[in-house]
Amino acid sequence: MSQHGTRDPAARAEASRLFVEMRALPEGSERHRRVRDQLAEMHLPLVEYLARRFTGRNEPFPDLVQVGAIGLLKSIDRFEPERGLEFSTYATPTILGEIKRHFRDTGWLLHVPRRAQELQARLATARGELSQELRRAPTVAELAVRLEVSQDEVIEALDVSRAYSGVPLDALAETDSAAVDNPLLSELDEQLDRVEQRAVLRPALDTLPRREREVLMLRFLAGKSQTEIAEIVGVSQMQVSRLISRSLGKLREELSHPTTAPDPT
Amino acid sequence: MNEVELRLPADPAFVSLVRAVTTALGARCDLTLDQIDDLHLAVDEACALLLPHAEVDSTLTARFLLDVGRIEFRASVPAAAGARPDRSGLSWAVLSALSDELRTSADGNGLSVTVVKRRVALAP
Repeated sequence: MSQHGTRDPAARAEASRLFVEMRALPEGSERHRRVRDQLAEMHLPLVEYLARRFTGRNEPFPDLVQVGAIGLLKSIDRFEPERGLEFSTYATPTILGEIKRHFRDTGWLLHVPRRAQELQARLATARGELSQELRRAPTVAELAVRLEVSQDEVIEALDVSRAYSGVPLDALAETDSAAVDNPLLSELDEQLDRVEQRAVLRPALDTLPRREREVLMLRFLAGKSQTEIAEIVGVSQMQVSRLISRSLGKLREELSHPTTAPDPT
Repeated sequence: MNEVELRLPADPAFVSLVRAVTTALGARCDLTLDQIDDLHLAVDEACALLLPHAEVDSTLTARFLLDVGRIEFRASVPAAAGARPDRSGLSWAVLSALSDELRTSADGNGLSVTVVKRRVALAP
């Protein structure tokens, strides 16, 4: 990697000369600033090289270089050439540290990559449209064709939407609007009493908000697909999907540590 | 037919790793999104069913068999002889609702749950 600047003996010699010169200059002086800038410019390829290792994470490359450059400047200010360490060796952990901190601070783990976020919005629309047209849920391949993206991108967006729920589910779950007065629901309620596991399920189900209970019964007692439930309840399939997995999580929790006395029947 | 196998610590904290590959594998078998969602839940439930029986510090093996329009997921853990997954609880009820085929087996090697998800005819 000759583009690091430091592998070329002439450039390395020039860099050491500049470091010695900079340290002799009073901080804040015009000349000090100019030498510092020159050193930063010389070593920018190192930052770019390191930043490139993080580009798979959907953070724009120029942003990573900018953050890495902060680490570079810190290293330039703290570098002690007399210790005999090569500058790139000294600076690399600091630059990497800044880049990693950036991912942490911007909440990479909670941060939806912009591209996937945009795709996610289009995905929800396309999923609804295709479900209407096909009278069933679409496949990933069908969505990819509709959205004119690769299947991998669809998969990524789906996983993103699963991991980062942007919809305030609680608000959704607590709306006891009259929208759900489907006769099917009272029928299901009676049906539940005939289910083998009712003694376990009934008290646990009763701890759930009405909407979540209804969605679960539609899915598991009536055997409705998520697409059908979305239509009955009047929310999107993605919301149904999230409601189901969240309610099941709560139920499992409730069943392993009941807060209500078990039904004696 | 393709086979994908993951081996991970038999600990609920690692189940998300199995889930992480589920969408991509379901898509590969050309399942619909609803079915992929079902598969996600089934993976969760199958693991929830098995992990209580897993021996301490053992390994959960998650294997996917991929075919056109069909995916078979099998989770297995080493378990004490005689251990049986709980068929009376929520996990089992949910799994049966989600699967086209559902099997458990217990042998000398431990306990396993197998879930098959088949694509419905893609009409129209």
